[in-house]
Amino acid sequence: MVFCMIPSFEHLRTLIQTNQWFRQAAASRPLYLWTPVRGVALEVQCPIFFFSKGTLCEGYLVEEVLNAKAQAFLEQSRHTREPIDRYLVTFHHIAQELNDFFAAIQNNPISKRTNTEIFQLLQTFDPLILRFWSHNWLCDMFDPQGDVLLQSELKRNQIALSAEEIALVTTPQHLNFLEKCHVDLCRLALAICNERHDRTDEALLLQLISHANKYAYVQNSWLVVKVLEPSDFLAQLKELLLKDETTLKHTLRELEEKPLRLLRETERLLTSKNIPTELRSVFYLFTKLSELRDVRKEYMLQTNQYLYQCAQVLAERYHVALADLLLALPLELTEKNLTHVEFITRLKTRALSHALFIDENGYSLLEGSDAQTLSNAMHRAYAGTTQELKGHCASQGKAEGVVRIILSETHFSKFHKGDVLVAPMTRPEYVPLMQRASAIVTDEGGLTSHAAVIARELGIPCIIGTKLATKKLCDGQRVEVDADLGMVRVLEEKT
Amino acid sequence: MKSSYIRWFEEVRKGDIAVVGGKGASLGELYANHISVPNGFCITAQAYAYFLLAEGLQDTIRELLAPLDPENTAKLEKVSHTIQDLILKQKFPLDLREQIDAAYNVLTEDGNPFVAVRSSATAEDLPEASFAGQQDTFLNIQGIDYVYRYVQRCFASLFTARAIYYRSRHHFDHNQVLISVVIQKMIDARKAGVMFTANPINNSRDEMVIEGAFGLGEAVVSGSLTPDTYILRKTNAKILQKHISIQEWGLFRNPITGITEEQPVPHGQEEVLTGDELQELCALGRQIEEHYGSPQDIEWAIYDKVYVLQSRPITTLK
Repeated sequence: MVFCMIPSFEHLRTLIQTNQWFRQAAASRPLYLWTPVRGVALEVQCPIFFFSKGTLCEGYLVEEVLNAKAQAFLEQSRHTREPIDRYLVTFHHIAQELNDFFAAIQNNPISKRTNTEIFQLLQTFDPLILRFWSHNWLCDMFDPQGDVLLQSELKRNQIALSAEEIALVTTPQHLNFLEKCHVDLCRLALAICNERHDRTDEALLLQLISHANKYAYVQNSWLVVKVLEPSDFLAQLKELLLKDETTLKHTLRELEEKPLRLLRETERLLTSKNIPTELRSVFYLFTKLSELRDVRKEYMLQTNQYLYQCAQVLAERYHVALADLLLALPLELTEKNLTHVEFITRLKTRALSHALFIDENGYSLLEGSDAQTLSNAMHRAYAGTTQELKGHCASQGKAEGVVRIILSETHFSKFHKGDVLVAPMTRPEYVPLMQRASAIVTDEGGLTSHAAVIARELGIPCIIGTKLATKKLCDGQRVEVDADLGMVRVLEEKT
Repeated sequence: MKSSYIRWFEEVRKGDIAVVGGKGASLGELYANHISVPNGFCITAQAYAYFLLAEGLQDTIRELLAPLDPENTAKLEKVSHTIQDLILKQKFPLDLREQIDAAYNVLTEDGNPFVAVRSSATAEDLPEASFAGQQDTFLNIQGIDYVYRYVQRCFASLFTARAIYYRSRHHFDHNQVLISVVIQKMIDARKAGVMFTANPINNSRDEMVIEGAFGLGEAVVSGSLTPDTYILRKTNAKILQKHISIQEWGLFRNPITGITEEQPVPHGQEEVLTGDELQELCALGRQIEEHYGSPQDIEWAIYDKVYVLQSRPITTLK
């Protein structure tokens, strides 16, 4: 994939307006996300917009494409586990390459490498990250419609399962990296018990060195890298050492047997409900997709750590701000760029706003006000096209009504009895309005917030924490608020 | 001689609503039962009455309100404004002033001058005023002059246009409604939030809801940000459901100006609460619920340890 000329603005705008978009957002930094997003484009094969502002990163994909791909994969997986198993074989193969690369980095720490070696490392690392992300995005294709697809498969087979039962048959049946980390720590504690090791802090820290090395990444995220030291595991180890040997063995067995236990429980349920093989394959697919997510995270956290360490060392040696380097593409971190004032200035403009557009021709980068204009256009289009909105139930019930967006007291006069009150949050002055509302929907807030408490008091449905209600919904739309499902559906556009 | 204008938390019990209002009474009761409530005192409802009487303000207010037609919105707004202005400008009688000064000095003798000023209603005159923390609360107040100013703001809040309208419509006597003000040591919370010792959504008394965010809990109470939400089993604090929300900002005290402000939270994608903190909160919730004998709505904050800022019964359980 190549860096291409920026397509005309008009072209991008038309593209934005003629598609329905699926949005994913995360707090992160471009250095970590550029390459994964490009990888995703290779796998999904649809235009992608990526916007970044401060630490808020948003990706937009064409929803239709995702749904069609998910649907097709599901249909192939009805009677056989082969498609997903085949997909996973390739995934693990690629992951192994990345793993070998991590091992090589650990053998020769980044801080001890010369500048040239670090630049070379980035040049090799980036294509590996790209390849990794171009083959693990299957799970995300099920994001927009996964629940709906699963429900329709149940219906096809005339099987009814409760929410808890569905959770059980689709839950990952492996130990994820946090659980593996805990298991290893239990094993270490057991070994210390058996061999009657010295239990002073100094001795325990020595014992923890290789554990800390192996799991240094577990507290990282898309945004923050925190490389763990032996001392970060000390308190946990000491707590385990308070237990006697028999209890420790028991704890360890409980943990290790978790996958088997889940498998047995699932099997029991599948048998008791007489689930046909067709549906069993579908459940298997969903289980594997959740496992894929876990494993992918494990690799992502490590990738971020090494990218961060590269940026950290380079920032120090070239006397540039680390925050600026976190706005660069990994491949942009070169000797030539880092010694170029103009490049650093460009990075600074990215902090305000920048956008990445990817299609079959390659990717292009927009900075400053261009990126801002494009991101505004996307936000408007996204608000207009979406027919559903999700949040959390704060007061149960279902109601229909006309949307009124209330941003301040000056909007009160447009509110009529039976309307749906849509607001960023509510305040005591809003109570007279709330008393006349058929339902309440907010952008922010939890189960204990003002809006939630009053809605329960009034006995009307309330959905909180939608993040986007005031942006996505419009005055005059007729909507159904199904609080039990946490869902707002647009029934009728403004007439 | 025991002052009738100031009551320390340790002198207050839950039956003292007529003297220190609902909030004050609840804080006193918790304090007396060794729940870790930041210390403080109440400026009593009698102090408020004395403040109005001393310079004849009460009569002026009566005269202003007597001819008022509450349906005349423009007039109502104007009178409300005039009365609030009078209250804000009225000086405190000297003996009242001396007592408040002395109490503030004792409260801040550890060198930390920050307090929270909260109004505490003696009667639930406004239906919406009974809800979570929605009566006036002023945070990070520093210095006695500012304390007076915000105490006056609490007094004046009895005469907002809405409050006057509501009392007139329901034929409540404006002069019978009293207010107390709580002055409490400010906890410079790293994280804070609200806990319901029953699940208000499905009315289950075997579950509890804990919501938390970085910074002061007011942002959770108002719903201006989306907190992390946990639903726990009450007996063993097992997490039944959790929803983690990326916290882009929180309410913090500016270290230079001392003013409460929205600040970005760089580590906002992390979970606000640790497993241990959840356990501790859950145990605390059980203890308070047991004491009152009914499910509670509790505000909490964490600085060096967990503090309880308020507890009241959940109003909506079926």
